Amino acid sequence: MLDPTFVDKLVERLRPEAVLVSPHHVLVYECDGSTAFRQTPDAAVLPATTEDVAAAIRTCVEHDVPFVGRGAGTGLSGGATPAEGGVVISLAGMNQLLELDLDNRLARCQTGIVNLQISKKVAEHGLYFAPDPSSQSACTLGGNIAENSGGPHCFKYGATTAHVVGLTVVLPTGEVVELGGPQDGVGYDLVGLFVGSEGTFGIATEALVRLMPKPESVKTLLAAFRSMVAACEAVSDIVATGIVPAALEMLDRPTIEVVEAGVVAAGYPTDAEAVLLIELDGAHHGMERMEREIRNACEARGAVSFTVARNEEEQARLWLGRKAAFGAMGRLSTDLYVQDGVVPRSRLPEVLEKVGEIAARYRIKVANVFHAGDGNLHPCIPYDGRDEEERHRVLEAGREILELCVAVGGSISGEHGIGREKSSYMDLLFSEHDLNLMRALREVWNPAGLCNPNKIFPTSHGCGEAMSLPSVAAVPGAWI
Amino acid sequence: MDLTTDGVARLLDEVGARPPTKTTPRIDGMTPALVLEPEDADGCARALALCHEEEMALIPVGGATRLGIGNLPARLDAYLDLRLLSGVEDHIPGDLTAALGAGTTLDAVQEALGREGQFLPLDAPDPSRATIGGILASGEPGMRRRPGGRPRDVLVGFEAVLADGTPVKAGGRVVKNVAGYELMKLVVGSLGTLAVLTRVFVRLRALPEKVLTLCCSARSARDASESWRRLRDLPLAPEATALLNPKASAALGTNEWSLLLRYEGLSEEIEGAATDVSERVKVEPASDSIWHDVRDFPTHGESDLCLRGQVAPARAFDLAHAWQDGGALMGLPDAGLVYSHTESLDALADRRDQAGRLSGTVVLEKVPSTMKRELDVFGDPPRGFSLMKRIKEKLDPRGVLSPGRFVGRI
Repeated sequence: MLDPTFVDKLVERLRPEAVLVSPHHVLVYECDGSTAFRQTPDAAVLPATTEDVAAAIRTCVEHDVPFVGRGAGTGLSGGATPAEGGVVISLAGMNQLLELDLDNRLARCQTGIVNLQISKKVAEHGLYFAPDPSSQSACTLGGNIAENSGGPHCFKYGATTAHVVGLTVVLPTGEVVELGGPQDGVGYDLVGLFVGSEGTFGIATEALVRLMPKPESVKTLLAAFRSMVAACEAVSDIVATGIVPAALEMLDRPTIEVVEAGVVAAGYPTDAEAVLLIELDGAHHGMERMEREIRNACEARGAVSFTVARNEEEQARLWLGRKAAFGAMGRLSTDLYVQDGVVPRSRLPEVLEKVGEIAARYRIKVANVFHAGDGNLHPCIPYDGRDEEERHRVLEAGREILELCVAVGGSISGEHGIGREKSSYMDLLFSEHDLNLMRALREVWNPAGLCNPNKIFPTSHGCGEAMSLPSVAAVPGAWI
Repeated sequence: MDLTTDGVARLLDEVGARPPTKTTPRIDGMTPALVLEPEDADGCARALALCHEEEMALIPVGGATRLGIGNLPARLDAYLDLRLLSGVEDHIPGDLTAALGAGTTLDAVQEALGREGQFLPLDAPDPSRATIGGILASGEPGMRRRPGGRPRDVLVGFEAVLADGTPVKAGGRVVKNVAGYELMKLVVGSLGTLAVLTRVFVRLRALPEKVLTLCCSARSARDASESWRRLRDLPLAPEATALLNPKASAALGTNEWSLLLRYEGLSEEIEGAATDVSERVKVEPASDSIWHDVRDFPTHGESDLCLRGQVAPARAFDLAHAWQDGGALMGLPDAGLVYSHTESLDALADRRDQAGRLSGTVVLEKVPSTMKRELDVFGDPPRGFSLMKRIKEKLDPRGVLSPGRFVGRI
C-alpha cells in the first residue's frame, strides 16, 4: 500500500491526470506479453517529458518505492512487470520523432514511439529504421533499447544496439544524463552498455537512432525440404557462401500444419518437413546471382521445391505464413510456452533432432518457427495450464532444451531477454563471478536497486519461481 | 617499486616474472620493473591476483604497436605481456565465428581464416604485430562503417580477468545473444582499464569475391563532399570511404584532394557499382594497396603529432576543410573521423575550437610524452564521465589496471 503523501507528491510534481492509482486503471500494467508473471503495480505514471520521468523517479527514490519503465508491454520475458509492485512509468505517451537529421541519417525520437512509426515517418526520404522485432507495429523504441531487440532482419543488419548512437537517460537516482551522440565519443561505450540492460540501468526517454537507405531491390524465396536436418544443413551452407540474406527463417512441419489449417493459409507445401523463408536485399545488379547461389545451396541439400515471389503481393503472402505462425498456435491449446535459445548455426541439425527427442520423452508437442540464419530457436510448446502434471512436464522439457542450447555453445536468449522469465536459468550460462560482475555494474547505475528490481539475476527464491511456467499471449496477429 | 619484497619474490617465482630487457618497449619513456608473460588464462589470473595483492600497477600489452595512445600512466610496475595467449580456435566456417586467443596477431588471424575463405572485418596499423586483444581494447576505429564492421560489432563474447585476478566471461560464441549485460561494448575501447581480455569470440565475414577501389579527385574538401553526397544514394554502399588531402595523396601521384571508395561484393554487384559511380562523378580506378596507407595513417605519418577529430559523419568534410592548413590529413567520412598530422601543438587550441564548433571532439592519437604532462589527450571529460569513473572504481578499486591512461585520467 502506498503512502498517501507519496501519491500527493507525484500528483503535485506531474499532473493529476498523469498519476493513476485506482485498481482498475493500474490493472492493465500487471504484465507484459509473458502473461504468467503478474503483479499489479500500486500506481502508474504517464509522463509527457523527460523532466516528468525524472520527477517521478526522484519521488520514488525519496519514498523508497520500486519503479519500472514500460513501453507497449509486448515483451516476452516479464521485463516490464512490476515484480515488487510500486510504480510503472509508462512512456507510451512520449511518442514523437523530435528531429530528423537527413545529412547524417539520424533521427532523435522519444522512446515511446512505436518502432514501425519511425520507418513510416522517414519513408518519404527513402530511409527506414532497421530493427524489426515481430511486434514492430506495436512495440516501442524504448522497449527495443531495453531488450536489445532483434527480429528477422537483424541477421544482416544487427540488433537494436547497432542502430542506437545516443540516449537521454533518467538514471535511477533521478539524474538526467546525455550519452553518446552523432559522432564517435571518448570513454567507455555507455550507450552500448545501456542497450540490453532490460530497464535496470534507468529509463531512456530519448534516443538518437541510425536510419538506413531502403534497398534497391528485395527478393523473397521459399525452399521446402523433406527433412528438418537437410533444411538446417542448407542454412549453414548458405551462410558459408558469403551471401548474407536479409532474413533466413525456418518453419517445421507442425508449424506449417497450424499455419495452413488457419484462415491465413500462406500456401506452404503441407508435405514438407520444413520450409526456409529467405529474403535477399541489396543492389539490383547482384540479385539474380544471389538467387542462383541460394537455389543451388538448397537443391544440393535436396530441396523439393523452390519458389520465388514474383511481386510484392507474393512476397507478402510468403511472409504471411511466418508472421501468422505464432498467433495461429493460440488455437492449439490454452497456453503456450515460447523459448528463445540460440545455438551455433552449424549445430542446428543435431539440436533440432534432440529437441524432438526431448519432446517425445516428455510427451509434449513442440512446433519450431525461428530465425535460422542466426541460430535463434523459438520452440513453441502448447500446453494446458490447468493441468498441473502437464505443466510440470513442459517445464522440465523446457529446461532440458535450454541446457542443450548451452551445451553446444549457445545461449538461453537471443532476443526476448531474461527478465523474470529466465532469471533462474542464468546460472546455466554464467558463473557466480560472471553474475557478480554484472551485479556490480547494476549497482553503479542503480545503487538503491529500486529500478526494475528482481529481474535478470537468479534470486534465492529462484527455484520456486522457475516453477511458474511462462505462458505468452499467442493472440492472432502476434508473432515472434 | 621495491623489487626485494616478498610479493615480488613470489611473482618472480610463481608466475615467471622477469625484469625488462633492452628490447622491452617503453610507454611514454617509462619501463616497468617487471614483465609478466603468462602462458595461459590461469597464469594470467594468478599474475593479476598477485599484482593486486601487492597493489602493483600493471598495463596489459600485446604487440606494443599502440602504446603511445592514452594519457601518461599514473603508475607503472609491470607489463602483462599477453602474446603467449595466442591461437585461432574453433573456427567454424558454417557459423562464421571463431575463438581467438587475445594475443593472436591480426595477420595470424586473417591467415587462418583466409584458408577457409573468411576474414575478420577489423583493420589496424602493423597487423603483423598488433594483437586482437589490443585492437579491441584500444577500440581502433578501423575504416569499415557498414553494419557489422566496427570493433564493437565483431565481438560477441569474451573471457577476461578482472583487476583482482577473478576470471570472468560475458556474451558467448553465438552471433545473437541477449543473456546478461552487453559487457562486450564496455570492454571494447576501454584501454585495459577494466579487465584483461584472454580470449575473444568474434563474428566473421566471407572474403568478398571482388574488391574495387576507385579514386575521385577534388580541388577541395568541400568539392569532395559534393561527390560523396552524389554517391550516397547508390544501391551499393562502399565498404570504406577515405578522404586524403594533397599532402596525403602523394602515393596516388596527385596534388589534389582524393576521395577513395572501396567496394566489396559479388562481381556483378561491383561491376554495377562501377557503372553507377562513373555516371555520377569522375573516377579513376586505384590500387587496393592504398588502403594499407589509409589503415596505417595514424601511426606512420611524418610527424610526432597526430590528431583525431570526431564529428558527425557529414561534418567530416567541414572539419577537413578547417584543418587543411596542417600536414597530411586523412578522413573517414562515413565514420566522422579526421586524422591530421601536424608539426606543433601551438594550433591545438584552434583545432579543438574548430571541432567544437562542429559539435565534435579531438583526441591526440600521437603526441610526445613530454607534452602529455600538461594535457589530457582525450580533451575535456565526456558526457557520462561520472558514471565512467564509478564503473572504474567499482571494477578496479585499487586502481591497478592501466591507471591514469584513459579518459579523464581514469
